[in-house]
Amino acid sequence: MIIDANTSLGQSLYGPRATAEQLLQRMTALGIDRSIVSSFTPRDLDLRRANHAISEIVAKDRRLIGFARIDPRLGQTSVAELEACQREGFRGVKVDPLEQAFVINSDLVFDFFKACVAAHMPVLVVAGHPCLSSPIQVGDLAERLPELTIIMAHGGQLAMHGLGIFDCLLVVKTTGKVYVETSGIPETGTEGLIERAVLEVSPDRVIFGSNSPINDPAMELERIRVSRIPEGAQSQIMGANLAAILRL
Amino acid sequence: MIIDAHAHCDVRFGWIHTPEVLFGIMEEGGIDKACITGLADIPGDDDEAYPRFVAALRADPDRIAAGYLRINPWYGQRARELFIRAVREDGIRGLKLHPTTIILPPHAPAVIEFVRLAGELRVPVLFHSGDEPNALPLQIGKCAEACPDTDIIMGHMGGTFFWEDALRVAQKYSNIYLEPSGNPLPDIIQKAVRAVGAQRVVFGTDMPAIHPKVERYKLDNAGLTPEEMELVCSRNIARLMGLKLNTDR
Repeated sequence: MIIDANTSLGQSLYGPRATAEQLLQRMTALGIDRSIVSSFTPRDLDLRRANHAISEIVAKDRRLIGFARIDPRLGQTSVAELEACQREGFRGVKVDPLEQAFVINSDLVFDFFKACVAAHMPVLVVAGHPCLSSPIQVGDLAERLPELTIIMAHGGQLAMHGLGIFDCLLVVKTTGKVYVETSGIPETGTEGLIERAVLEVSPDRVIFGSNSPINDPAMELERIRVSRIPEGAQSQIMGANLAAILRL
Repeated sequence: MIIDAHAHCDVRFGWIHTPEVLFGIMEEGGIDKACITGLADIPGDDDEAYPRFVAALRADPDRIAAGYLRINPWYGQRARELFIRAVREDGIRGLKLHPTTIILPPHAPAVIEFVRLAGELRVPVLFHSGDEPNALPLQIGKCAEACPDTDIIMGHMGGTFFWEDALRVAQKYSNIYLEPSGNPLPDIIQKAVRAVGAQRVVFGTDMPAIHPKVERYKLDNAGLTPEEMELVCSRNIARLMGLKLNTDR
């Protein structure tokens, strides 16, 4: 069972676009059984409308699992949107600190993440943005809110220097519910982040994601397949870990 | 023939990138030859770094095509003498500068001095570039402007977020070559070739830290013509490093 933890649909304000049909075709071609889908930040910035559109897509095809895009800066309005999305069948939340301009561990958004804990909604965080969502900042949120399940997209590695690996491993080692999502992680050869997270922390804590359509899922699957990790760990990363989180 | 323009062979920071590890991963990724650099900035805290690098360079001339010496410009005259000796006596054909580890922007006078020296010695400079301070393509552009007689390879071509700057800077300065390793966009090689032509794009992987199979995916799906592929995979880096290819007449 392969589950892709990170895909987007719609037309992004920043250019990329994808339809559900395109995603499903690609999944079939690559043997991906299920995918987490979220809306891109749409051109009209209307995340309510975008979430509703995703909920309608997800309702038609059980291979797709919805994660709501929510702007966490809006206090009670953000929490109301979380509740609306849960009623529509969303199973988690995706937040992008760059696109919605917030610091992941700031007090401004803390109550929203508390509401995610109460709603049992895991949060996929676009991580690795300097000053906004570096792994150490994601780790701080996790320390202050240990019940929150955080899927740290890109392992927090959006910088090329690779020094962020240290922070990422530290955070995953010292917290209980932070997971490394693998899309776009550059250092995935020998002693790369995927390998070290599996061998030094636990194979339970790494999750395959593609960041499709920005990244190519075939290339992202290759990152996992070339990692020098036990076969059992491969299958955990490819789907079993996320299935356990979402109780699929 | 694939010559990897950006590979590492060294043991440092807990990374065990010995020649054997490198050769194993080259085989897995279908890489014929590699241009290597170390992991330590020299001179520095590791007196064995230079002999270790020279030994790695000579481990297998069929598979290790050439080397870039990784220099720390803060050491001034000592670094200068070492670099000149490396090129003139030890067969080193390039200079590697990692602005993040030397903590200097590419346009700092101390860096420019070495980039100009590389031009005088007729060897290229491989810069690490990326998403962090001191390693931005625009900063490397200022260096290229100040050193028009030096060929500069922009490793990672700006990383995840700064590839547009990398394309623009390379369009502006003809002494910049783009190397796309690590960038997660599947069509980054296409973008680079469209922007500056296949003559100024070199394939690199940053292996063994980055697995060449992942980087090969970008190359194999770039839609390049056979002529463009040959330039990107071997001819450009061979020309920059002064390597003779079997197909050369």
